[in-house]
Amino acid sequence: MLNIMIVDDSTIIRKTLQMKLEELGFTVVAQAKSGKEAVSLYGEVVPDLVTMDITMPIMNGIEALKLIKKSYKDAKIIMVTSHGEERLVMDAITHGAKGYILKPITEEKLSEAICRVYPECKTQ
Amino acid sequence: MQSISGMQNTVKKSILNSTIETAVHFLENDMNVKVLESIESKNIEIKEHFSAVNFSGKIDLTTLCLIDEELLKTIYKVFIPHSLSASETKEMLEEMPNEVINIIAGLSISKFPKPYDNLTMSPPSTISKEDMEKLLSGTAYISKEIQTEKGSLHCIIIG
Repeated sequence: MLNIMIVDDSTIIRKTLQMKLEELGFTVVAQAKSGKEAVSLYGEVVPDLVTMDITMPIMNGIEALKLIKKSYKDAKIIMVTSHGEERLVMDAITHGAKGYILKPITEEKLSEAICRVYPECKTQ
Repeated sequence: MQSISGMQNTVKKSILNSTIETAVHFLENDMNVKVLESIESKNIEIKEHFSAVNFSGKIDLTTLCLIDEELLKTIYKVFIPHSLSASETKEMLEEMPNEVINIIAGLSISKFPKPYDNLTMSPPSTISKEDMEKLLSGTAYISKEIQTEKGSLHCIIIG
């Protein structure tokens, strides 16, 4: 059972992700509304995986990814984006993101992205 | 040879068409809503539910989307199929137009004509009805309306 932290400024996306992740059998251990909140929460919960929105106010997902990876090299972060713009996704991958999910979010996309990071999750 | 304003109008039309193409795909394939037709429209009926994003870079413009209530609720049900408390549902529904435009405008960027396929998109902005009316009365815009079996989605490119 993987412990997952959700980072997104949108209430509706946090709720959607929480429902879909729980339906897939994962545990949502924390939720953050901004990159800044995610950076401080990460150390408290040390989740197995983070789903990180890219475009957020205060601190965007790529800045948060860089800060988390700086302190926790093994952090596993998947970016969630609505942007077809490859530049942002490639930037995130360059800085250590383990993959990305293009909105709208479906259980299939979530499961596929998570199982690419944790192949054993297919058995859940 | 095309003038600068003529060229900008061509670009804006192309951006509108990319936005409409993305919106139709989103509605039909992701939201399971049957699209009836999309038509050019000069008259804009102000709706209760709307949101806007700004694009900046090689061209600066705003995309505004207005959504009929029934269509918004249909999309909401796909996002949140489970029942929530009345207050949570209200909060989510208020936020829903932001998420719809975020997805449609975000995914449409890569379909914009070159070299405009690399614009920077702002997070969705919550503008008041009054500000939206001012924006529409003071600036040139082009628009198309997608009619579906659940109501319409009107996309407007302003700038």
